[in-house]
Amino acid sequence: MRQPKRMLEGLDADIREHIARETQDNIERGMTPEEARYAAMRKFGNVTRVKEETREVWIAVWLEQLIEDVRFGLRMLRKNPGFTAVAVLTLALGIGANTALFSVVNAVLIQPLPFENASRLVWSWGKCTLCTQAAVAPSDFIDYRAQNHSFEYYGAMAGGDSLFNLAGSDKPIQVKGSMVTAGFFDALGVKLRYGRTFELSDEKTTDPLVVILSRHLWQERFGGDPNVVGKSVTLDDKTRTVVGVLANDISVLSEADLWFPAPFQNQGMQSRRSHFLRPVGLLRRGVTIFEAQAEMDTIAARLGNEYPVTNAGWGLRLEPLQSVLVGSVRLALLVLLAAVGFVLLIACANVASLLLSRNSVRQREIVIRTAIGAGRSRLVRQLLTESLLLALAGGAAGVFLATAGVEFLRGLGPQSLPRLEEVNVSGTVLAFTFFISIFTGILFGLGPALKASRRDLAQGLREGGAAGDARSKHRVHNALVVAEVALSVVVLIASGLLLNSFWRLMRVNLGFDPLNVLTTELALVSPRYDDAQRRESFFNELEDRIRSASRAGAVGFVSELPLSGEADDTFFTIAEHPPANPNDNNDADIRIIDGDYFGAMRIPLLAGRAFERQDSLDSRKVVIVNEPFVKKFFPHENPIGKHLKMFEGKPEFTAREIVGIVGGNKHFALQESLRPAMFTPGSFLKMNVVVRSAGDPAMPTTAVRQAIRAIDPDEATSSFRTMGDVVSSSAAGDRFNALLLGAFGGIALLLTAAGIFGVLSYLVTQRTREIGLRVALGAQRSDVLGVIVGHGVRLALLGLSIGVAAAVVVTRWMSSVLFDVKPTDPLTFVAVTVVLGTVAFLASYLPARRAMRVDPMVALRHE
Amino acid sequence: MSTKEERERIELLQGTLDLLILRTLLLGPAHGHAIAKAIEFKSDDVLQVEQGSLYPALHRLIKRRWISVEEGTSENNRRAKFYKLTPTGRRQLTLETRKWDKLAGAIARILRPAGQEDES
Repeated sequence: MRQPKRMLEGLDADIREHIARETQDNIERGMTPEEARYAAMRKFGNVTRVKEETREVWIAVWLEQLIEDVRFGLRMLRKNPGFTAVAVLTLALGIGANTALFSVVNAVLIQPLPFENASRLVWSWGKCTLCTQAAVAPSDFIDYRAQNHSFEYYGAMAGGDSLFNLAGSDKPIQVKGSMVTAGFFDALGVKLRYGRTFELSDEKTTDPLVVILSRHLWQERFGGDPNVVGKSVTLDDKTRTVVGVLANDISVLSEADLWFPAPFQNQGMQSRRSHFLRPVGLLRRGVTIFEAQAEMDTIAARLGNEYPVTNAGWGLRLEPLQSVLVGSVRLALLVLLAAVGFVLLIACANVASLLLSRNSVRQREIVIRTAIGAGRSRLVRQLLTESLLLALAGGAAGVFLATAGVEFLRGLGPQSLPRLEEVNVSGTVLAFTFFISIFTGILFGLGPALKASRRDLAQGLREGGAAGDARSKHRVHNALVVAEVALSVVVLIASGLLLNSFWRLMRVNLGFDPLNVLTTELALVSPRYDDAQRRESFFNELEDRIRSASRAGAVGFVSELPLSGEADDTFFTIAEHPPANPNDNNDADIRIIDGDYFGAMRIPLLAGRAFERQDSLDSRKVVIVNEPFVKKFFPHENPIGKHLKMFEGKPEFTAREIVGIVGGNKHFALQESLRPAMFTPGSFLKMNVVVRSAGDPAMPTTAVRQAIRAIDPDEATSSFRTMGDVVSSSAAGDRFNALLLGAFGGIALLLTAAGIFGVLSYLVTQRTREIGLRVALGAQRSDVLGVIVGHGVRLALLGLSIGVAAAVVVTRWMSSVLFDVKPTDPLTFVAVTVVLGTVAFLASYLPARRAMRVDPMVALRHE
Repeated sequence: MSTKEERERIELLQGTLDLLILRTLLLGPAHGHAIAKAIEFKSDDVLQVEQGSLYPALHRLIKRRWISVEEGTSENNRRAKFYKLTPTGRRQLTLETRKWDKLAGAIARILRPAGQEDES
């Protein structure tokens, strides 16, 4: 009974019947039949609309209409291939750039870490009066682990990896091993393929007995042997038992090939003074990070009372693991995201003005549709459908651009971005793209659709085609151009600032000369080099052999290479200025150097002397300090001849005489100010070899390898890098940001140019008759040129002033990603203004030339 | 074109039209044209129904089961659809009328506060 079909069956007849009755009534009132019928129809209203509205009561008419609109829309888009191509391409650029960047933001900032219970994982920093991101001493860690009730699991890993020789059936290979405590893998919730995680009993030893293998090492070195648990492996001539294999790699936290448990019975692991553990814990359900922090503060205070010498002022600072791993890139990514959002807005403005121009050409079609009964909402819906089709086509093309873009991004920033390997165009990203496509379609389509449907019927029919009322239409076009210019000023200034900042970063004084310097890491594995004297003669001989074999300039060795991420620091006091409280130690970076390190790096010797060979073995202990060190600790006196008492792993501090002063150099990052550092002569088992070659820095590679083999065939070095590469990869993050924002700026400029060009071309077409008339009445062609170019340039200037004002406000937000450049850097602002002004002029000039060539005869016959 | 009379007529809100239809059908089943006429007549032609808009409204009421429809023949032997109030519709009418009275009273109080009546 109430089925839509049956209900609607008689509707036509009902309406006819109704009108017939009304006509009859009217005739009875004395009208002529013709008058009566006309009056009845007028009184009834729009029949088509009545029928449509009645149908809508019963069925999801909108669905029918949608299909119809889509069909019609597709036909319209096919009929205007030029318009369609330009619009889709514009949108593809905007949406593609957004999709690519969002896939990075999604993987890095939004997706939870690839750990179970990632939201409950908490990192612990060591903190003291002067530090907030220190590591934690092993004995302190044990107390924190044993005494807290906030964490379900609390474990730690050592700050760095160590290299081991893993013996096998064929040649030994070098693997990265990392020390972790019991509870570490449990906190992370890492699944094991085979075996077990480390237990507290594994820590009760002076030398680790067991290891856990990474998935990749198990596959590559052990052929995926399912029975590997329980087997022995030989690491640096010591035998260990495999107790487990991880099911998945955990490269976001540790890139080690295998892990061994912290041997807490070892003398070196009993310290509260040397901080090298990085704890991570899994909060108990329901415990907040603040509650955990409060408990750790209580434990820290207790330890401070118990061990005032080492622990006074020390504590822990808890931070969610996700924020630790990605926090540093958050702001840069948000800046990029904002910029790319602006690019999308510019694309929208472009397509909106394209649509406006086209809708005015379609005016007659729209008027006729209105005349035959299409309601306004119906018309808007139909025009919006076309916009959405365009947007979705743009989105689909954008996804292709983004897929290529993501490949490119992955190639750009290997170390700079955490979790880069997780970046891809995933389902979430596609959903995002779909959403912004729809949003974009409505954004650029709704305005023009509303405007087109607002036309006064009678006027529209009278005026018909192109020469519609110019004023209001042009106002919207003009506003779009102004908005576009303003938006792209902001994007261009942001990218200009970042490029400027990167340019300065690349030219910053490093304090050393990376040109023609080759470097490699050398880790001595043979136990005979545990003896310092043997180690010294190894490095001395190595220096001599490399020098004579390769015509190399200087050859040196350093424990921590600048800008490589390695670091070490130690406590000291100044013997001539003993602190009031014996526990008030100073702290500064320390490097162990051997050979001619300063010569190889061209770090200038400012006063005193460099080290000589006997310094490292002499009983007379010496030290060299750098200029920032002197400024900080000896501001008003000559430090040469003074003595530093330095902590070198023994309770008694070692007194060393300052014999030289060298220039400071960048160590952690190009952005940092120079850090105070001390250099002592000697060597560790692991040193970085630094070779300055006469010409091509890659040349001495063979010489270095041969020299090592000639001295001791058991030792080998790993891969070589030029110092230039080391510097460049330490700036990879800044390069990534600068390149990306530069690209966005380029797209913004291109779109804006296209936008100005499009609007002015349209205006010229619209005003052809007027221009023809003017020329016919005697206007000079140059006047015509001036009018059109003037129009474009006026709009651009308005946009420029708005954009510059907006940029002053917006770029302040960027100051922490800029290096040595103020957010209001006048040079950048002026450069952007000039570039955009020029582009606006050119984009206006081309359509203006066409206007100039208008033939008055043709123009006046135009319609 | 527009006369003073036309301007004084009040355009109907959608919900009001539903209410008027229900009220008309309270007196007995009627066909579409008769409903339109009745509404116009009873309101002394002040309420102007664009007659076409009656049909979506009728169908809306059928869909809500407030009225039902049956085939019949009209006074002059023409085929016609007759619309009839259902019990649900009757209840709805009481409810809506009460609501409407309340609203109308409230609006009247706002527009003509006590003591200002002779000013208008």
